Amino acid sequence: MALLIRPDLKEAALWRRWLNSKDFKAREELFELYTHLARSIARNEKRRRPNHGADGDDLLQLAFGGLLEAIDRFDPERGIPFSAYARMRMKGSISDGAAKFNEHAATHQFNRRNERLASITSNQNSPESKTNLQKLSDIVICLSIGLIADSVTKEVNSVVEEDHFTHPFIGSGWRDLQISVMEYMLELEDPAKTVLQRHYLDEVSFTQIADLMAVSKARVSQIHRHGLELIRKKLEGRKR
Amino acid sequence: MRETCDDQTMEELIGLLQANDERALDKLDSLVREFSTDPRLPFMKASLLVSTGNPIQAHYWFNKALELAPDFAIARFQFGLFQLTSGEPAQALETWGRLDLLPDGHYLRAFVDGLRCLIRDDFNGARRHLTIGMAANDENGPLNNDMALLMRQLDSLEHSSQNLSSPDDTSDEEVSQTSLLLQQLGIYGLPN
Repeated sequence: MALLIRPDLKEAALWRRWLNSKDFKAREELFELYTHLARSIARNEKRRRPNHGADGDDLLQLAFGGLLEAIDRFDPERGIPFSAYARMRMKGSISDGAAKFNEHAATHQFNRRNERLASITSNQNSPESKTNLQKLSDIVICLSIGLIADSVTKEVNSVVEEDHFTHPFIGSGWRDLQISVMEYMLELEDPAKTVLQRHYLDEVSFTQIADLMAVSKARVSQIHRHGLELIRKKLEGRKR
Repeated sequence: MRETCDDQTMEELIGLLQANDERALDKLDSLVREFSTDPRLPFMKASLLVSTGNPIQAHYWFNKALELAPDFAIARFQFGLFQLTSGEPAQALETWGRLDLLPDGHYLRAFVDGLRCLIRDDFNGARRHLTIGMAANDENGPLNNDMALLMRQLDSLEHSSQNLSSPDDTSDEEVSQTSLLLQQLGIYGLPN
């Protein structure tokens, strides 16, 4: 089936569904289609302007913001290739954003970890029967799962950027755990799968995921926490 | 406003389109306005738009043709094929559904069955149905050429895993989509 699909027609169908029906799933697929371009632009901009105070993650978020703007404003019938249009938007977004950064500015990384922590600690459904220690333990485990998922993304990206992957101190147990977390994440069902993949693999902030999925940021936070809890349960099951 | 375009005007238009004459699009647009209930014209416009790289508008005109004539079988078949190659198999299956009402042994039914097999990656089933369809089709040569090309590409894919959709895969024998659709219009004339 995949062999029959013409990528140009497929992309046109996504644009049609987004423009004519405001189909957010199509918008999300368009975003995914051009994520690699955003990454590439963020990397190039990082090399080009090393001392502006923003780190690679910040630039990537700015590029993602520019990509979303580009998707929302693009008119495919004007004949300009989207990649060229989006490239301008993303570079513009990075230029505007980077100009506002300085050493004391709160970085995206801080915000991203903060919103993640808020998501995990705001569990309203935690059974009353659990002790505070058990609740704290749940929080720590969920945070750890997030950090493990983060570490995989960082390593994968470092392959592309720096061509080094294996750290001599990384043991096989840690690697197994990373693989399990990623496998369980990919096994999740939507919307948890989408939220966790976007956040940990694509490094997209909750705000941007909310925009992509047309839901509130609080809802994304809730889905994120639920997804981590499902992974935690699977990891616990694996130990038995 | 007249209902259907006469055959001579239609032939002139097809001649302009096949010759890539720059007046063709204006002529087609003018005829679409003049004969607003003739389903062949929106189908022709959809075909032209596909070939000129405007699939979003093409989708609209395919729909328009089928709104005017739900039993316009070749338009229905080609619209489904367009949807399938656009990554919308569910919509393609829905579009083709009405073709099941064609008589037993109709080549379009066999072609659709073949493409349904392809959606399921059932290559042997696809070959079987496409072969039956080509044998049954003695009125639309260009479509047979297209299905034969598809089968050759399937063979090639099975052996080399090359991408069917790659433009580099096309052979000299391939009939361009526009040319194919226009020739079919010439064969079919008005839908029932």
